Amino acid sequence: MGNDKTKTFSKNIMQNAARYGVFIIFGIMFIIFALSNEHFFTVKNIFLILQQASPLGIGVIGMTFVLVLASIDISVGRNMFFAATIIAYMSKVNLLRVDMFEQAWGYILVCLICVAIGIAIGFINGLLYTKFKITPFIVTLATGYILRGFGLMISGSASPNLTLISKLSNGSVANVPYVLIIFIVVAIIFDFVLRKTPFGRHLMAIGNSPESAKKAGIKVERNTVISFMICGGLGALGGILSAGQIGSVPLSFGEGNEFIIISAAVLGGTSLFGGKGNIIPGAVIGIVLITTIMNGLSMVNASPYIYTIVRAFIIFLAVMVDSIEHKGELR
Amino acid sequence: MSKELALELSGIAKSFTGVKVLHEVDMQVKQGEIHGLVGENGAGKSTMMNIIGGVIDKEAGTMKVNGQPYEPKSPLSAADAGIAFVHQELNLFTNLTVAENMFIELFPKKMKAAIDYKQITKSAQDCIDEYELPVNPKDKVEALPAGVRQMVEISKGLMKNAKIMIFDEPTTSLSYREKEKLFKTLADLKKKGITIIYISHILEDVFELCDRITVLRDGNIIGTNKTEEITNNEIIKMMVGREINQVYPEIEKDIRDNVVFDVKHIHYKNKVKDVSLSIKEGEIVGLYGLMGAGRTELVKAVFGAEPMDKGDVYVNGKKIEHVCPEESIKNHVALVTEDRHHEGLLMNKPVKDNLVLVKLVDILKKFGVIDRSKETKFTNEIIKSLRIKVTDPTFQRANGLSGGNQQKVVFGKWVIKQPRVFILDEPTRGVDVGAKFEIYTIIANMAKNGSSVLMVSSEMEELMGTCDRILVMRDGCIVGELQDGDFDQETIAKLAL
Repeated sequence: MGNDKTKTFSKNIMQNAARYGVFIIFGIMFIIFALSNEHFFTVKNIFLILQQASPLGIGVIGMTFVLVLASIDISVGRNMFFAATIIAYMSKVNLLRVDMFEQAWGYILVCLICVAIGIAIGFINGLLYTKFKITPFIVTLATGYILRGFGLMISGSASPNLTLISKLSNGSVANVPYVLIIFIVVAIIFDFVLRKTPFGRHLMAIGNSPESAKKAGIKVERNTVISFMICGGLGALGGILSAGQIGSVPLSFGEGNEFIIISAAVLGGTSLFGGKGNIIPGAVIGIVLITTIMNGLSMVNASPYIYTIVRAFIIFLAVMVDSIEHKGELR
Repeated sequence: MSKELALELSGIAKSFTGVKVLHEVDMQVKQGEIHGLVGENGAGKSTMMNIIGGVIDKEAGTMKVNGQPYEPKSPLSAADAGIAFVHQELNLFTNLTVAENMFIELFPKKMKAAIDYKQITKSAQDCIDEYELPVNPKDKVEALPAGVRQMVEISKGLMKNAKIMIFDEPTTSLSYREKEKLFKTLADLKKKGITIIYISHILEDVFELCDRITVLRDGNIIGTNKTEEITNNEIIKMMVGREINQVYPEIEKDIRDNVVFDVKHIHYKNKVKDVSLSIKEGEIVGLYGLMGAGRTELVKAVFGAEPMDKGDVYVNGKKIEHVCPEESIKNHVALVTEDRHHEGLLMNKPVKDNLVLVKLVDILKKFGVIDRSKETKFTNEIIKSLRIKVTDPTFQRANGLSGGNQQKVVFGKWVIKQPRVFILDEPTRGVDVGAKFEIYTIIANMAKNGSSVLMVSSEMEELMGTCDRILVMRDGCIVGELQDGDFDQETIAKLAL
């Protein structure tokens, strides 16, 4: 029956449109940006985009580890705020002094402190999720607000300065931003972890079927907690690098970052239904695309209110593609 | 004497949320034997196996492997003790490759971190060659058909060189030929002195394979017997706790002359090629074929669950213009799928909601409000007539029922609707012996009341026992037709192969 044929045909079109449509939309937006502003498509601006994308990109890498478990961590934006506030506080009370930053170890120390804070937060998230069986969405929503509360208490509701590490966040070597180098190194390491190590493959297995994973002797709970720790640690690291780019910790810092991070991961092919995800190229492409749109909007002098709308559209599109593809999967 | 025992359980007990599922169970498995374990769904077989496998903890009792005390902490300690599991195919990770699945428990590593992909690909390939599997180690499992997945799961178990192997329903999705091959492999393993525990619903297989058979009912071991010393009926009696004289119901019914369901020249992808069939009022037609013969695809296409490429469907002489589930239901055609977990039931909803689901549109009052009294009336009627074991249909959820009762609920859902054409895909898969008889009775009664039934099954005997006519499918075509009276296992098997 011709009627049915058109139906299958249109269904295929739907799937393909969803899969490639996102990239076509991005392509069209690229062209519009490039045509309306001659500075958009220049080496200088591309490096700027990469520099802007790197801190959040590190967060996306961590998020991928949680998403492949069919789990989610929405505390990550507030985790960024909290870590940056702690560093700002430490510099205010002279625990971190300017002279420590004359050499590289000062920066390394700051990064390590943040990673440690993030890992601790991730540990708590993971523990609450696995031991008390609370939905990760709710667990991380709650811990996120707690972190934000503590952060505001510590900063006394002022926006503390954070110029200490701006050299790291904004500096570059031979035109290549430091943050980009950190991003690339982290991406390579964790891509290896996810793709090539037993731990990474076990995460994929858990995301596919927790029951079978348990039967196969995979330590489901332990691996889940470790994933949340990775997500927290990388989130906090991304947070401090991002705050360093601004030079302070505004009160709204980090708000909404979790959704940019999650949609970047999903855009890169990580599934919210678990068991599917990759860092190179997925997570990297995802965050670069989103940052490019944001950068382009500022270049064409778009109203700041448009940003939120565009962000919402990106999230919507990314998740829609994920859902459509998921339905077609043989399970 | 205990040296001869490969596995010894004594006093094993376990309860879930206060309900005892294993009552101080004792079981002895001799070295080098194939030991059958049978029992109805919910008898405690899988709980027992999960305790042996270290997946769950026992509450009391001791276990010994080869005379040594055995206390598994996790599935890995079971593997250390030389115990391997072959689960149903559903335990593979569909997003990983065949090789990754085979080594998921313990990946060989290089440089202490990375998975040694070269080695796992090579070992997987060796294993694939040995058992002649039609796969590549780098294929993702999601791309494989169910039968092949099961073979992968089996070879994964064989690869571990275990001393004791536990097979849990390994044949559910195997074709006839694959099953023969599996049985040959099992016989070879036995020759090598490997002890096998074989769990299955299919008693014929258990009798063919096993040296001794243990029957489990309601968490108790009813008995262990040598295969030669016991009959099929005795085993069934032990399983259900009562005697079942008949496997198939005898219900007098007439086949009337008018054709109710007429299907012409159906094409679907490459799987169904130009199939035509017609069913008369009151007739039960069986559809037999091996895995991949296109049976499921055919019934899905005629119902409209999958859009057919070409073909016409007539119900009572009236052509259905646009074949889709809504139209089919409107024309009184019903389909009961084999996958009741995903397609047939709302597992988290009460039995009542499940039963009236498709009937809802017919029992509306003014303004589209559901008529509660009719709803209750229909539900109670159907629970009574199908003998569904449920204490409170308004609150008891579908996932709390046993497999057989779940299947009855799926049936009941459609029986309420009184379909003219009833299409059944593997109606008794995963259903235990006692409940099977009741399901056959329901089917026969439907036909008696004037419905036409099309029944797909891979169990030849079941079709021979219930159908008036059997069609055999091979490679997407109907290759043979047998009338009741001419039924013969050999003829059917020859046609299907």
